[in-house]
Amino acid sequence: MSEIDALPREEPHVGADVVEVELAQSLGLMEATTIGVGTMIGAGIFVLPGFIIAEVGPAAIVSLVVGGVIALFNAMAAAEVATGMPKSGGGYYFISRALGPLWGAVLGWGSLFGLVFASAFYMVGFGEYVHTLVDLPVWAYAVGMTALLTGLNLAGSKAAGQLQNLIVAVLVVVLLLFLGGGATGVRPTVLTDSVFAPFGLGAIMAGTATLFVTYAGFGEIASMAEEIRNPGRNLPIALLGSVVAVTILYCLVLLVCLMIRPWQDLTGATLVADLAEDLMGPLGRGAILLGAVLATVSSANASIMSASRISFAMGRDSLIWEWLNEIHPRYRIPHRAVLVTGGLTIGVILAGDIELLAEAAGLLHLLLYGLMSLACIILRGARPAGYQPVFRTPLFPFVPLAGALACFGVIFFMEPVTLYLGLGLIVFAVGHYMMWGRHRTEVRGEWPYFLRRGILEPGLERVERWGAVADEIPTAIVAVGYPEREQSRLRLAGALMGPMRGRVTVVSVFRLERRLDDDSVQSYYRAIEERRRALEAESRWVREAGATVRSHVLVSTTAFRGLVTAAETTGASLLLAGWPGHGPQARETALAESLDRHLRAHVLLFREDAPLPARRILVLVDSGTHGELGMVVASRLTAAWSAELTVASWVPTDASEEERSKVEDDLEASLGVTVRARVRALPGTSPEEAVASEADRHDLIVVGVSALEATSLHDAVEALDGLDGPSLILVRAHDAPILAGRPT
Amino acid sequence: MTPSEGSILVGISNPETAHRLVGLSMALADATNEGGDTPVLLVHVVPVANQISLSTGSSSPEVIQARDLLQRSADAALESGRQARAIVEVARNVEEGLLAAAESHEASLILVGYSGGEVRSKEEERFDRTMRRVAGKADADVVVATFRHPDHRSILVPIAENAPLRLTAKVCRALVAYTGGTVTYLHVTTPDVDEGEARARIQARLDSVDRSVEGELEVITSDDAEAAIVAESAEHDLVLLGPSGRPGLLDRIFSSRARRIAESVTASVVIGWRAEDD
Repeated sequence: MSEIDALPREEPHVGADVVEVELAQSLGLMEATTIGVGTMIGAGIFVLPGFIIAEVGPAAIVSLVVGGVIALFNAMAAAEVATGMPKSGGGYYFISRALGPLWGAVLGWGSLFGLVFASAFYMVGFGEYVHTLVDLPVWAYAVGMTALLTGLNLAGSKAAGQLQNLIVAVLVVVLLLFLGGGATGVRPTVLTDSVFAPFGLGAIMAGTATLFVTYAGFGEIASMAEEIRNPGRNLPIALLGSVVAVTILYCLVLLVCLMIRPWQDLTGATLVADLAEDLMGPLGRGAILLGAVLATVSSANASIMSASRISFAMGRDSLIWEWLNEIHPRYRIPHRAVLVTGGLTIGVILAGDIELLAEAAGLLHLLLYGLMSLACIILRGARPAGYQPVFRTPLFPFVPLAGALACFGVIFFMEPVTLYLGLGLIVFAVGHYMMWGRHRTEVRGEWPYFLRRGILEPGLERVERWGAVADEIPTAIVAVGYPEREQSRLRLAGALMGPMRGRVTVVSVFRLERRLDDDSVQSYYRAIEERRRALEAESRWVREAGATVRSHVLVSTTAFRGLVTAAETTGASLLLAGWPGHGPQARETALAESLDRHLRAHVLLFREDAPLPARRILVLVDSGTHGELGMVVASRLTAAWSAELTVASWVPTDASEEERSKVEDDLEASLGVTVRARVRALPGTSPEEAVASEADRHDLIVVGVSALEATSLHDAVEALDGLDGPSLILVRAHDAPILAGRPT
Repeated sequence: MTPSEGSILVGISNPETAHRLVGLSMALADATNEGGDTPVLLVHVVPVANQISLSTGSSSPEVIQARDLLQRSADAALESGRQARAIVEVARNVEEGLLAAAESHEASLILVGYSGGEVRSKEEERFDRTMRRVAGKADADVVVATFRHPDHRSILVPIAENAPLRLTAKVCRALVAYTGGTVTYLHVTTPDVDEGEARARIQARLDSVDRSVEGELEVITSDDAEAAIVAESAEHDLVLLGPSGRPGLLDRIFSSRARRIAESVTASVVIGWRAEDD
């Protein structure tokens, strides 16, 4: 074997485009559980007991158990949807797919602000504890640490993530120390001699509302689903296990608190530290202080990171400004999202008190988890493609329904100011969706299918039969180089896809050099941004025709790979691209051949010679699938532009009159009653010569690859290259349904 | 413990050295199984910040560039007569990416390149740390290659007294097949040991290894084995440093003797290492 001298420098082998992209699943059961436990043992258990006991009395322990049961019910639903579609974005993703983009937007914003409120709550808790060491204002500590965490996130620090296991271990040890110390110093009579629920049931539920933020962290596991190994097994165990473990730990801590002093004496944000000092002296207080500081800082840091991810998930669905999600070209960090999250957290710290922050965070998480349970019911009923949860919620639908109702029910026990805050946020989210996201997003909820398949079960068979085609809303990719120069291609896409309300993704492939230095990265990003703006502006040609449009600048090292990736990602059934041959020959040949071999979609190659809209269209058909697709394309354009259509078939020059008449009769018969067209048998020594003979009588010619007796797109392109005058559309059909859709 | 024969995972990140790693991996695949069915995986890890989900990171420009590099590497493999699977592994960091890919594809050998310059940069320090952790956690042999010469006609293979030879022999077979070079085994013995006896022992051990590569055995006496290897390497194009045979060197393998030798010699260096070797 000889040494390989170098990698191939030209375009890659067209036959070997085998590069796969995998997401590293590096979180095992222990790591996933640690994430859940670590996020849940946040400020809540160190900061809230004093407030809750003052509000509820000894029955605060019931508030905790109720919160734990609600969390457990919702964790089961979360486990089902997360194993069914292990994607990032967590609750937002599941809800938007189940309930549609409006609720997705509401919950996306809700989750974002929920994390902001939670971060603020953790940071104020941090301030409360550190303030006992050095007497500076609590807000100063909270703001300072938030700024520091934001800075660390901007610098791309991974320290917090790597220390997570250690932090959780320290927290558990600290709490166990507290419990151990408490076991020696508790007096059960302190609890048994007290009135258990001095403020009644309402107070217990209000207590649950306030402390629910302490359970909020379990959703973090679901949002990391794509990184968990064997998610079918590990994800549900981690979710349920962490909720159960944390509930037990919380209850024990509260129980110890209630058996040390009369509940009337248990108040303040640093209650647990105060009691630890009573039990174990300054060392006990120090341990709790250490635990509280670690817990609050790590939870706040996790919240800032999670907020960026939700912002990204919303951005992917066009439900939030792309500007917010821009990645810093050098540090590869979503710097704006991090800065905005940090800024909002600081604003909220300065504006609210600790209980309000906890309750606001709890409200938004209750809403999130309640709707996630509903999403579980909807997705199981709708049975969307690819949704196959490994974990199935027991006692379905009772458990998710009870989880959802309990979440919504608890909300009503919150303070009016919290409810107004939540309502204001919902109004903002709905308003933003109506004005921004509604026209851009392609997300569709599964709830109509849930109603049809889950509720209207008796009509299932008929709906399935007729619905299969109608539901297949066609999706097309339109590839353009410089959008402002290629309006005709966009108008063509509008004419094809608009009348059937199709979905069109307009893609501009931006070729990326293989190696970039920092300076060229900056100029690349600027150029990409300019291209993106032009693309969005020119996409109006498609939008105005009635199609749903999304524009996208795709950065790729080769046009072919960019287009194939775009088609795969969007599940497009059709690609409309420009005519190859104007670039370097080898590259264009590779492009045509590669599209032929690798693209699982119909391909239309367009060359503009005569202006559009066309008035006289010729379609050359044959008996193959390519011809059928050509006929569909030509008849759509004819209808859209009120053009005249000629349907032709090639016959050899020496064909007799009889043979020509028969060809024309066959063509006439194949048209049926829906297409009005002239039919022609075109004589010629070859199909391309036959087409050329009609060139001056038409301004658009549509030809299927097989009608040219070509075996590939590349051969067909070469056959038509010399044809001047009319615009050309070369059609290559794929096995997929031809432009299946619902004409309107 | 010897890892079961699985796939060969090649970490591809540098376009300048990728072709050499591909070539060596092809030879390693043959050296592992002459039937030629040992799968070769070309893996490029794209690290993604914690603030971004992996799926979002999977559409970054870095992934596109990685696809291109891997595509060309796969093409190079194809041209040499073997199909290689190419994977962009999107991960939180390189260590996680390599380990996740090695586990999910049941790799029994991980091959990575290493710039190994004389002046150690922060990136090289990071690489050291990463590879130490990978070597410690992966259930696979780890081979680190530093290519400094265009041709490798002469390969020096230092053999310590008790060093395990399984991996050394396999990598040596692969290097010979890949470069066409000839092998010189080197044993450095201490003045208190009889050279003749040492030669006989080492030769016997080499003879006992299945499919070992034939080569001249040189035995020299020195108090400083490391300096002797460095001095001897001046006569060769490539030095293959196998597992040392001393347990507990996990934290030092890339930072102590092997690394010092790698930094001191002008020849290319290939280091083979296994956490719990035979």
